[in-house]
Amino acid sequence: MEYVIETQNLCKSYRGKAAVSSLNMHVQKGDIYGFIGRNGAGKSTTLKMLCNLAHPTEGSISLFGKSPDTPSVRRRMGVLIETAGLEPSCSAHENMVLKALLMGIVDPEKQICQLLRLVGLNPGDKKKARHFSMGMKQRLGIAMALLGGPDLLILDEPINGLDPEGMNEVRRILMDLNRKKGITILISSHILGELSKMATRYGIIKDGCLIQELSSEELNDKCRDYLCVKTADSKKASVLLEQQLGLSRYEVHPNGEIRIYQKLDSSAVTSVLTSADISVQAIYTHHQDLEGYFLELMEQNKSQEKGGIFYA
Amino acid sequence: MLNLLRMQLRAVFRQKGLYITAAILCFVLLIAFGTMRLVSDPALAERARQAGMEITTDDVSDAFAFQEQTQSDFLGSLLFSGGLMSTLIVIVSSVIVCDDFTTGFGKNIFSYYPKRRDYIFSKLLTLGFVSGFFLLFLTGATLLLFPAAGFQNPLGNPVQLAAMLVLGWAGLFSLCAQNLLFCMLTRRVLVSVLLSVSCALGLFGAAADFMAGLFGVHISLLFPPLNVLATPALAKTFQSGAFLQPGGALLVAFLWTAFYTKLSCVVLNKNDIC
Repeated sequence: MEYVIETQNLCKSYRGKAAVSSLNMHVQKGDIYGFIGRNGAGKSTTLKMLCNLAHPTEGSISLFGKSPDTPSVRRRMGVLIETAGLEPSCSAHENMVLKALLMGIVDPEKQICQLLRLVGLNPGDKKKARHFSMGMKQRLGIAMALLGGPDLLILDEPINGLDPEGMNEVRRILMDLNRKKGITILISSHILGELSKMATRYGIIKDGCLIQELSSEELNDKCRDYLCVKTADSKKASVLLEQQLGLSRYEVHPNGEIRIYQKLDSSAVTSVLTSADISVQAIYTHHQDLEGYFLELMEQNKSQEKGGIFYA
Repeated sequence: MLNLLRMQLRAVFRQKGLYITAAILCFVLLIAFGTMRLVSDPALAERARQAGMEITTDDVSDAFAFQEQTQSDFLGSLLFSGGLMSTLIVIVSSVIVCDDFTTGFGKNIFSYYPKRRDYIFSKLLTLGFVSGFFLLFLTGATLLLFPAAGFQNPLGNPVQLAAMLVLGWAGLFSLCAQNLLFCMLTRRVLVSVLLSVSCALGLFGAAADFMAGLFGVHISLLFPPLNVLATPALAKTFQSGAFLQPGGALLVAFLWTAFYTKLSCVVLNKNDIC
């Protein structure tokens, strides 16, 4: 399969300390690829390497099947890394003109006005970028990234600083661009709720390593609801439930939690356990979302490092 | 690269800062010429004294010395040997270059132009245009102020004046290239201005030369400000051939420009863009 973005064994070290290690990322055409990780996990460093702002220490990057240095590849990309790079003494329109000039876009006026309106900025506004709110700067950054009609958008925290309405609008714009124009989007964000509403694939990075890549369908499957039972003796309780209620799909976590992924009546579980003198500290149905999944995955990784989870 | 150059020229020449700087320099020149007129004209000087202004004999002799000069000689002293153009250009160029990093606008450039030498070349050419602008502006303003202030100084040899401006401009190019290197190394306006002004006025060169001199090595010629500061000597050296001949000065300026440009490319290529 040909990927729009493919990295092989990508590594980046700063003074001998690895910021990104052996990262193998695969972004397919038409994906909205949500790139998730904690602060300092290596998201921005990875995106900077893809955008030619940082040099990999090791490994290779392929964009549209070619080297990232290829001019034709650069013309097909739009980027917004961390904060929007703006000329503070220029208006939104002038910033767009400067970006269009450096890209060599002929007669960009119509495109500039369209893009500024698309992100909710007024093309005629003379206000200088230094007086913009964070949200306005991000909107302008997105508009600048869209100049030239890119096939691939790389956006690092594009909804930072936006109010809920702004986030909603940016999400709608990005989804429209993806659906109508087939633009592939690689987006990193801490606002996982927003990300989960648009991403079709995810890459989860931890301590510089891409620990998981999965599609939204796979995520939905993994984010299945479960019945959570907390007892003083989870191992004994799980054996009892296996024997008496036919429990088969469950996980026992080190914190005494039993996660039951099959349909079981919570009152039946309680009565089985209390009749065997196992006190039930808590029992509830857990609905998991991307954020929950991410946090759990991070926690799981920590536990695996310490001792591990028992899977049935 | 031409697109990048067009963008950079637009970014610089559409900013008010450039014209405000030019206006301030023009105002300073106006005051200098006005003062000179006041001191050199006995009637005006007398009225000034009556109004409480102190005019010393040194002031009067300076004013007479000024009237003895050709306009070309005065321009040489004003622009080059006085260090005005050197200081002005390194400050302006530091602001122009470092802004790309402090504002983050550079990310737009470097993500689109993978070959970073394109940036260095276009920036150097932009700085060349900026120094040319100030050079022409200050020359024009000075030549206009002479008759406007009522001074009858002769122009001097116009060919030598033109040659001085061209050689000075070439020397400023090497200073711009040197400043580009400082900006690539530090990416901070203040630090690169301090380093560049020190170099432009020959302070760093003199200090380095002194240190190297302890080991019997003299390296002051390694610093391009020598070129720029020596430019006003041109009018005199045309005849005597004592110092830098025009061809030699141009060659030295070119070599320094090439050297610092190459170093700037190396430094920029090695570092990541934040």
